[in-house]
Order: sequence, then C-alpha cells, then structure tokens
Amino acid sequence: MIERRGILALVAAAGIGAGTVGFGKRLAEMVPLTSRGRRALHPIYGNANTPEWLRDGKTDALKLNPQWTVRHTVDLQCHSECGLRVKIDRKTGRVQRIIGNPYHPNTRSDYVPVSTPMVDTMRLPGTVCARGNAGIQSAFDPYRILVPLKRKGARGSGQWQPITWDQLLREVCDGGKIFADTGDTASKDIDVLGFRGLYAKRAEMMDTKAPELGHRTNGLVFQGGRIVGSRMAFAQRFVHTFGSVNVFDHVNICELSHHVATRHIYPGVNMTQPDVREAKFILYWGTQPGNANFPMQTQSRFVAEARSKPDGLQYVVIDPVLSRGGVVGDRADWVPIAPGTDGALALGMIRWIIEQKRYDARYLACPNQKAAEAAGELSHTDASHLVIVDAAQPKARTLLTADLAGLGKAAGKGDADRVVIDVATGKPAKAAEIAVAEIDYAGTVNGIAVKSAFRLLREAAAEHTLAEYAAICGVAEQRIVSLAREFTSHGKQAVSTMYRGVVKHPNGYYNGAAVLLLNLLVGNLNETGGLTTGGGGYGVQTGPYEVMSVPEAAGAAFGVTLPRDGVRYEESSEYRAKVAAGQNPYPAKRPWFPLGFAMFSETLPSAIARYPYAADILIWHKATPLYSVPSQGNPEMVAAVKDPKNIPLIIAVDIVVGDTSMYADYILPDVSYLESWCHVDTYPTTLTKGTGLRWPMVRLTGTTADGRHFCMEEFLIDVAKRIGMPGYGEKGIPDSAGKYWPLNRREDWYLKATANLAATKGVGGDVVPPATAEEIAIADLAPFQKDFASALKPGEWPEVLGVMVRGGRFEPASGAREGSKLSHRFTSTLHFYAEETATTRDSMSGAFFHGTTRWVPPTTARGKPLEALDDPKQWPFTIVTLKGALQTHSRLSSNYALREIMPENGVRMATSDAAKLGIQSGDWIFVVTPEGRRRARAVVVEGIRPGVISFNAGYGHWGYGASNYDIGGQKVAGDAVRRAGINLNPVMRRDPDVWQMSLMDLVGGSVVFFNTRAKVEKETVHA
Amino acid sequence: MSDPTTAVTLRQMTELYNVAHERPYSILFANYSWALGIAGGLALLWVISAWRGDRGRVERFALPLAVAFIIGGFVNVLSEVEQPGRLFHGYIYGWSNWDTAIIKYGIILLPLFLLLSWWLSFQTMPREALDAEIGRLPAPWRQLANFFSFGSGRYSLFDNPPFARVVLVAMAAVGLFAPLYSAVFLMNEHGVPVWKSPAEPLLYLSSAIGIAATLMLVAVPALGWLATGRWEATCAAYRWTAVIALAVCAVVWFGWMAWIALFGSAEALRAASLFAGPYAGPIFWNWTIIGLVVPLVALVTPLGRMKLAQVVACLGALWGGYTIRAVVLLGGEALNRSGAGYLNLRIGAGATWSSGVAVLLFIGFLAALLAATPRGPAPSAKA
Repeated sequence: MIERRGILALVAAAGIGAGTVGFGKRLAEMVPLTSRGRRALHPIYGNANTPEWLRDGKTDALKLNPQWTVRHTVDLQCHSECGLRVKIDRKTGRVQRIIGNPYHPNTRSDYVPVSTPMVDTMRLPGTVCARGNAGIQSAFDPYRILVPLKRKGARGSGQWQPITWDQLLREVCDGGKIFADTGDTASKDIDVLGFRGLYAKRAEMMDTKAPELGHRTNGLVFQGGRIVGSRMAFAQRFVHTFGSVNVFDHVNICELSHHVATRHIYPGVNMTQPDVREAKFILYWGTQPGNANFPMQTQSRFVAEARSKPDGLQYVVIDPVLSRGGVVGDRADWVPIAPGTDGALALGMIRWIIEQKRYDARYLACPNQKAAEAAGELSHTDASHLVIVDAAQPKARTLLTADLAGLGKAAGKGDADRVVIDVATGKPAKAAEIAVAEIDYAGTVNGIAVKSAFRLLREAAAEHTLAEYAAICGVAEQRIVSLAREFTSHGKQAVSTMYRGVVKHPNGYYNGAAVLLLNLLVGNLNETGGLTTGGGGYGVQTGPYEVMSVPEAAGAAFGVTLPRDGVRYEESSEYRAKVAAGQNPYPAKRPWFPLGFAMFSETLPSAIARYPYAADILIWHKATPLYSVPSQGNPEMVAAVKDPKNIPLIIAVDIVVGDTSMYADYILPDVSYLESWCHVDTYPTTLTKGTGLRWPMVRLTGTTADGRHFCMEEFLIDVAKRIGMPGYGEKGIPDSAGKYWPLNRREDWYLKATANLAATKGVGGDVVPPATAEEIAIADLAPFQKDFASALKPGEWPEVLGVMVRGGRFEPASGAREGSKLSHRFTSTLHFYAEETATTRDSMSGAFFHGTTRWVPPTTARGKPLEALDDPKQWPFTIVTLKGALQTHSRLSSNYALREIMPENGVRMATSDAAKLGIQSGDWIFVVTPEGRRRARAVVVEGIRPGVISFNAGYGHWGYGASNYDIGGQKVAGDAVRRAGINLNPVMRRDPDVWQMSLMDLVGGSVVFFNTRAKVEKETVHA
Repeated sequence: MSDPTTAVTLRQMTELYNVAHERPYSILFANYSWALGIAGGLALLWVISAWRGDRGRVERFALPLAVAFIIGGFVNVLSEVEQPGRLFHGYIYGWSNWDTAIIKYGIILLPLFLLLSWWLSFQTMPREALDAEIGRLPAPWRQLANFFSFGSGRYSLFDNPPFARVVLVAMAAVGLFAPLYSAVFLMNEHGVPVWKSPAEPLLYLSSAIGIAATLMLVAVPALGWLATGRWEATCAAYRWTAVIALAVCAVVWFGWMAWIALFGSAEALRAASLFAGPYAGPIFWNWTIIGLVVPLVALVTPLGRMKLAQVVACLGALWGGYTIRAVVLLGGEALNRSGAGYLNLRIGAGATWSSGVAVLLFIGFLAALLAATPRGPAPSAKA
C-alpha cells in the first residue's frame, strides 16, 4: 500500500512539476494581458483598435480620439479609385484601418457635400470593397524595397546589391561601364549612354532619312503600369522635356479598343456609363456588376439599389463566364455568348431593331443639336449625314461636305459642313440648317454617290441573317430577338454598356462599336436612366500655376512613338521609300496603330526589334509586361530582355522585386498608393464632376540626404537637375503671373496642382471651404504645412488644406440631375459613321478600316482567320480571363486578407466539358496551348459556356515575393501564398507573322486576351 | 473507404484543397472540448450515483478523474486563446466588457465546475480517515493540506442533506454545461455554417456520457484500486448507459449528415462534402468503426460482461469521441469562406507541446488526488 502511494506521489510530483514547467510561460502571460506573448494594448480589448471618434455621452458630440489621425485619400487597389478614409496611429504612423471617404461619390449614393465640416461626416462613413480595406497590406508589404537596388550578376539572376541614392543617380545619369562591377560578362564592357549622354543628343535626329521618327532622345522610353492622373502628367512632363514622346501607361492591355470605339461614336470621350439607378434595362456586355468595371463597388451598389425598386432595373449579362454580378433570377439574366462574337449578337439585334422599325426614328432624324432640343431630345446623331461611297472619288469614305454637295462654303466645321437630305424638300441641305432629315438614304448628290450613315449601318447589319448571327455567337435566334425587343421596350431608359470582355479580341473595335451603337438607336444619351459621359473632372494643370509648362522644352518631343501609335504608316519614310522603289508597301514590318494610344504590349518587342528605332533607356514604372501581356512571358522574350545588348539600361521603379522588374538593372524604390500624390477624376457612373486627391498618408521609403523620400518623382527631379534639364530646380514652375517657383521636391509640383484644383471654376456647391483648425488637427496637417510652406503662396494654403482634408473636390450629389435630365450633357454629334476610322488603312494589308461596324471574324495581323490558325477540333477550348473582385493586379498578391478569402484561382471549366474529360473539381489538369502548357487545378462550375475555360487574373506569380532572391548577400525567401494559382498569360497565342507580338486588334489597338485556343488534359500521374 | 450514408450526394462538391487561410482554432480546441466533455459526463454520472446515496462507493473516484480532465482541458484552452489574460481580466474589469461573448458563461461556470469537482473529491473521502491523516502531518503541511482539501477533514457536506442536494444539483448543472459549452461556443462562431447545427451539442453531450460510462466501467474501479488497493466493481448499468449514449451518438451524427444532404445550405453542403470526401476514410475508421461499432458490439453482445471487452469499448469510445470533435472542428474551419478549397490539418509544434503539457498535468493531478486519498477502511456503501 505504501509503495503504491509512494509511486502515486512520485507520479504526481513528476506530472505536476513537468507540466507546470512546460506551461509556465503561458501562466506568466496570464497576469499582464499579452497577445501572442507580447504585452497587449488593453486588458480587455487586447490589440483591437479603439474608435477614431469619441462621443460625449451628455451632448452626443463627437471629437477625434487623440490616438488617431484621420485622412482622406484615393484608392489604387483597382482603377475605380474610390475615396478612402484612413486611420493612422499618431505614435507609430501605422495605418490601422481603411474605409470609404464619405465626400467621394464612389463610396455612398448620398455622398456628403464638400461644404460639410469633417467632424459632421463621422456618422456617415463611406464604403470601399474588400480590396480597399486590404490596402494596408499593399503598403506595409514585408517584401517592399525601400532603398535603391542594383543587380549583381546577369539580369534576372536574383542577386541584388543595395546602393545609395547618389550612386544610383551618378551611374544612370553619367553612364559608362556601369556594369563592370556586376560580374556579368555579358554587360561588363557595355558603355551605357545614361541620361546625360542621351540628353546631349537632343538635337540629333533618330534617323536623318526618317525625320518623322523625331530626335535621338526618343530613345528614352517610360513604360508605365498603374500610373494615372497627375502622377502620369508628372512623368510626361519629364519625358517630354527630355525630348521623348515615349511615355505610356498600360491601356492597351486593359481596354484600349473600348476607348477607341467610344471615341469614334462619342467624339473625344473615352467612356460612357449608364445612369444605373434610373435605368430600366441594361445590357452588360463583357462585364458584370461586381466585377471589374468603373467604379466596381459603386456600379454594384447602384445596380442593387435600382434592382430593388418596385419598377426598377432589369439587367442581362452577356459574357461567356457567369461571375458574382451575373446573378440569374429575379430581374437578372445571363447570356453565355461565344467569346469574341459580341459584335455578331449586337448586329443581329440591330438588324432586327431596324427591320422592325423599333428604333427612335424621330430622334435619329434630328441632324443637329438645335433641332434635337426643339424636338425634346437631349442629343443628336449623324444618322442622316451623308457619306461618300463612290470609291472613285478623291474624298471617298469621308462625310460629304457642303462645298462638294454644291451647297456653298460652310460656315464652320461639324454639322455646319455636313450634308443631309431634307425631309421637307427631298433635297440636300446643310445638316445644321434643317430640323428633320432623311436617315435611310442612298443616291447621288451633285453627281457623287452617297449614303446616309444610318443606311450604311443598316446594310452592314444586313450582311448576315439572324440565323447566321445566331450561329456565330452561339445565342439562339429567338434570344437575339427577345433581347432586341426588351432593349427597345423601355424608351430611353435602356442602355447597352460594355467593358473589356467585348474588345480584347482581334475584332474588338468592331464588337465594341456595335454594342455602343445600340444606344444611338434608342437615343439614350444625357437622358435620365440612359447613358452618360459624366461630369468629368476639374483641371489641375492650369490656373494659378502652369504645372506642365516648360517653355524651353516646347516642341522638343516629337515624332513617331516606339509602338507606332497615333501615326499612320503611310506617313512614314519607310512607306514612302517602298512606294518610291516600286514595292508593295504592305505589310509594314510590324503593325502601326494610328487610332490607338498607350500601346503597352508593343513596347518591349518593338524596342528589342529596333522598329522603328531602339531604346537606350527603358523605365518600367510598376509595369510588368512579362506577367501581364498575353504571351510576352515566353522564354524567348525573357531571354531577349535579359540580353543587355537589346536594351542597354533598364530601370524599374517599383515597390517590390516584381515579376518583370526582377529583370531590371536597377530597381528604384517607389511609393505605394498610400504614400503617393495624384489627382484623379471620377467616372461617369456617378454623374457629377469630381477630382479625387491622393496624397501621402504615410512615408515609408528611405530618404535622400536632404530628407526626401525615395520615389519616382524625386528620381526624375534629381536626374533632371543633374543633367541640366529646364523646368526643374530653382526655375521650375511658372505661375500665372510669369514668376517661376522652384521644383526641387515632389510637393512643389503637386501642391501647386492642388492649388489649381481649389481655384478652378466650380459648377455650384463644389467650392471647398478653407480647412478649419479642427480639421487640420484631425488630419495632422500642421507639420505638413510647416514643412512645405514655401511651395505655395500663404493665401492659398487654407483652401489647399481644405481639399486635402476632404480628399479632393466634388460636385454635390444634388448636382447630378436637372429635373428629368442629367445635368452634365454631351452635345457633340454622335457618330454612326466614324470618318477617321473609315479613312485609315490597315498597315499590314493596306485595306481601309470600316467606318461603321460590321461582323468581322477574328484574324491574325496578316488576315489569317484564327479558326484556320488553330483548328478548333484540335484545340477545343478558348481561354478567357476574369478580372475578379478580389485579385487582379500584381500588388494584390501581397494582400493576405484577400488571399485568405480566395487563395487560389484554378481553371474554371463547364460541368459538361469536365464530364467528357473525366475531370472533377480539384483534379490537376494541364492547359495546353500552341505556345506551351501549364498545370492547374480544375474548378468545375455551371456558370461558364461549354468550350470556354477561364482563370481569374492575378495569381501564379514568380516575382512579387513569390520566389527567392538575394539582397546584399541576405536571402529573401519567397512566399508560397503569392505563388499560388495559375497565370495563363505566358502561354497565350502569339501572332505567327510578327515577332513576339500578341494577337492584336489592329483598329482599336487592344492586345488580345480572349482568343487563345487550348486543350485540357487531365493529369494521370501526380507530378 | 467512404462513409456510406453521406458519400453519394456530397462528394461531388469537394473542391481544391490545402489552400492557406486563417483558422480560428487549432487541434487544442478539440482536446479541450473532449476533456471537458468527459469531465462533464463523469460528473453527471457521479451525481446520479450520489443522489441515490452511493457517494461512498468506488464511483467517487470519478471525481478526481473529472478534476484531472478539467485541468488538462484548461491547459489546452489557455494555450489556444493566445491571450490567456483576457479570461483572467474579465473578472477584474467588469462583466460588461464581455458584452455578447459566449465566453462570459464559460469563465464563470467552468472554474466553478473545477472547484466543485475538487471539493467533492475530498468530500467523498472517508472524513475521519482524512482528518486523521492530515492531523499527522507537520504543521506547515497540515495547513497546506487543509487548504487544498477545503478543510474537508473537519466537516461533511453530506451531513446537511438539503445543502448536499443543492450542491449535487449545481454539480449536475455544471456537469451538463461542460460538454455542451464547447459545442455552443462553436455554434456562436460566425461564418462557419456547419458549426451552427443543434446536432452538435447533442452529439457532444451523448458522446461525453458514452465515454464517461465506459470509464465508469473500467477506469474508475482501476483508480479505486490504485488508491485503496481494493478492486470494487461499479454498477453494471453503466454498460447500458454507454450503449444508449453511443447509439444516440450514431443517430445524431448520421441524422445530421442526412439533414445536411437533404436540406443543408450550399455552405453546409460544402463542409459536409469534406466529411463525405477527403475526410470520409478517417471518419469511417476512427469514428464509425472504432468509436461506435466496436464499443457497441463489445458492450451489447454477451462479450460485454467481460472486462477486456469493456476496456476495448472504453478505448474505442475515447478515441472515437476525440476523433469526431476534431473532425467537426477541423471540417468547419478548414473551409475557405470563398469556397475555394480547404485546408489539410497540420499540427504545429506549439499545439503538440501544449497537448503534451496537458497530458502531464492530467496525470500529475490525478495521481496527486489518488495519493491524497486516505488509506483507511472503505466507507460504507450507503454512507
């Protein structure tokens, strides 16, 4: 008995003793409150945030919690650029929370007028989406680079050396054998020109035999990724002053053909949007509420509001993939169209609408704005305007002018110079001078064969029967009819709107034009519940200060851009030389894009192919072409980029070592959106006028010797000053009186742009009041004002601070409408017929583009039908990308809060396709294209058209912290969370006839994302 | 091998797996739920026994065992929360700070359960013998012994039957609360549909009683023997108590899965698809076979009269009861909220360490209470 008790006591002592020792640390943590072993802020709430505002229990008044600073800025987690309210810890400078800025139209339907004191907005917070909330993780990414890096070893070796700001400036400006210390045999002997050397050639021509190519300084190329608004203007100011025309952002990989098609129908306008809240019927083509569109969260909220009204909105999503917003059910429907055939469906609808005479004939017969307004309309079109269709005429394909029609000299351009057939007389007349014109006309005027623009569209639509259109787009004939009937059953409260799904095809421009032309048939522009071009933004470039003005550099930048946009091939010396030599000038060596702009995808291959000239210095600003451009991440292209002989100096301006910046020679640490400046306009969706102000919430990058934080702007300023460019330094920015102000730091420029914003003429109720002492305290702006006091005239500061505390300047929500009309109306002539397009030739075939839309099958640049290129029997699937709500852009891969919600993407495929291949969700599959193969998880869903596979963009990174690299001998380990998922861009289809060119829309300039054919193979042996 | 009742309709919903996301709980929560559940089951069975006047019998050794399970469980939960002081500070800074948190019930009732079990462990010892043994100790040790035994050598709760009944009711209440609490706690967690079901507390309670009943059959007499050197059998009815409890477990579990298959939301189906898909094999073997079929066969058949069969049933019930808690916990939180996939279990070093510490403290406190048991003559069965 004693022995047993002794054993029990021994066991007890051992168990309790060892257990207590093992548990001791945790027991010790119980006395002071700790969170994961570290002392927590509060005994009950731990490290949870305290609120920004403290309420007086007696008076109910709110005042700021002194622990926090509250500031308003603008998001850049997507391109919607919603206003943000940022909560910042005053002690640590750490951002603790991001919600919506209630002054900004994106964040509330009843957003707050700018006249409202900030403290009165505290019970009215705005909303942002999950991306907006998660943005803290973009700025405070542990993979951020905060000092300049120079490569060690070859490009892409993953070896980096931290260098000083001065070394960076010295080497990139002065050039020479700056890579001799890298150990890279391929580049150690290359004599780099540098900024100074290239700038010294600013009077030399790029090619004396081709003067249209401009100066030698066009060898500086700035390829921007996510750079917009006044930040882009800052970069343009530098590049243009340097003498280069090559400064681009990313538009052609995003939605360029959408803009070009819109511009050609709505002259000078890049985007139209529905008045969602009052519309009765909306066709969403190639997009859906809740996915990428402008602005994403606002569009979604408006749709939800409109749909919930008793007689509210019905909408139909026309897209091969059903995503979040494509809810099927009450008042919403989905048409799973075949990729790239939107033009066929739209033309089928147009044909039926015209044949059934369900268009608004009274509206279309108005040949000018005055006549339209007299008829109670809010816009007018060129439906009745006559087009010269006689190919023998020198002016063939142009709109008939008054003098050619024998009507005498016109009093002006536009409608005054256009000719129509007057319904009252049956005779030709100047469009500006009559009230009602014939819209469906074909005949001769003054001996010239002409047709009305409407007639041209009717004939184009009639080129195929409804059955043929149905066969092309995979939508039943009856469904086409029902869509057309519904669209024409709501008067002017029906809208046809689109985003990139329609246009990222070789025939994207024509698809987009067809979709937009539906709106002209019902005459919905400027109408309540119709279409709007929006209120636009306030100018920031002129006013008290001329921030873009560098008189000494006027005209320095000219010539053909590297990707040959905005210029006709026929104006080139190459063309003229071929013609002079009796050769067929077509095709050009690479396509020219006379209607396009910002040809992001053509920048790298053109530079490497040296067509039309080479690049000496390439700056990647948060640009990642190897990741984001279809097919450009292929091994041959990567090898070409790594070869320093192709582009001698590549400088990446980035916040991390990215998927493309990993191949640069230098990486300059840039600021994230929470540290940067920018003025960015609001979108038409919100109907009012507005410009948001992005300004630094925090400052995280390293500093120069004089305390400026490393970023693109400080780099450009220092380069400019070092090589003696005008417009920088003490004689920087002229004011309206001609006095020059210094430009030695970025705030010198952005604060003046903000002063312009504050001073510009308003539209009523939008004057920003001076910031009060309380508001300055809330936003902690007193130290800021002190630091940058000399950047503005003292009298300008109160209003500028007022704009800063409100995060911009915005017209009140009440300014959206005037009775039943939209307040901001676009009154230029809307075009059924795009004269500029019609008179532009395809640089590969020499054929003219079509002036109005028609069904054009997708082809390669040399005109080979894609179906003949990759046989659908061998390649049964078409890849389409999806811009989901949670991941798209590279920077979102650092947002673990978003990755937690959606950690991987996988390849979506239809249940019926999966069943045929014996594939279940979660199976490993190979996606095989003519360009390569990728391994991915299958995600089997019903919401996708059979024959289509899709992946959510933004996954499958190899850079941006996804893989290992070395900085100064310290290994930085890659993170599997960022590697997760699949990116099929690198295996997308290239054009077989143009080196390293993706499939392209030669009219609109878009790169093609949605026409790569593929096959899917189930993995049988696990790799 | 899949679970035959759930596989057919649910398997096809299985999606991607092993996708990283935050999980609220580690396996320590399952440890805690299991240990507190068993303690509660033991307490309930002992209360019934004591109510019938059998408090002096060998069943009293269920109480030190319950104490050991409670302390082991507490170690797990204090490790799990990462902020153990929050439990402690709740007493200091006021009830209002807990607001709507379910934890406000746990931080009162579970320590009360421990105190009651500890006190009653001593109260059920032979009082005179305990007093005599304490009296023989040197002064400092005597004071310590009196403190830890709550002075139980000097008085008997059961001398005051009305008060004793109040205490027994209180013990029954906290004994019932303990198995239900972890399930209700999970039901209160947002965004995990499969945890919302009322089947969960039913399952946890019946499993706890089933396990406790088998422990009463084999472990409690063994503890009595360890403490006193005498082998005394417990009531044979525990065999059928265990059978009924485990049968209820089976009905609740399969009924729950069938309910989800027939009426469950998409989110619940997605979770259940784990049970019918990737988790089906482990569930089938560890829960259906080892945790339910083996104990039931061992107890229902004539074999059930044999000690060996009872030991097998007890081990099976213990393992099965742990498995089903782990499966429900991990199956719920393994799912990514977007439905993008689920996370495979990886037990981290911290969880392993804390589990080991919990086992050590379980053994230590159980041995200590057994060692403290006086070696005098056995109290009368109807003391």
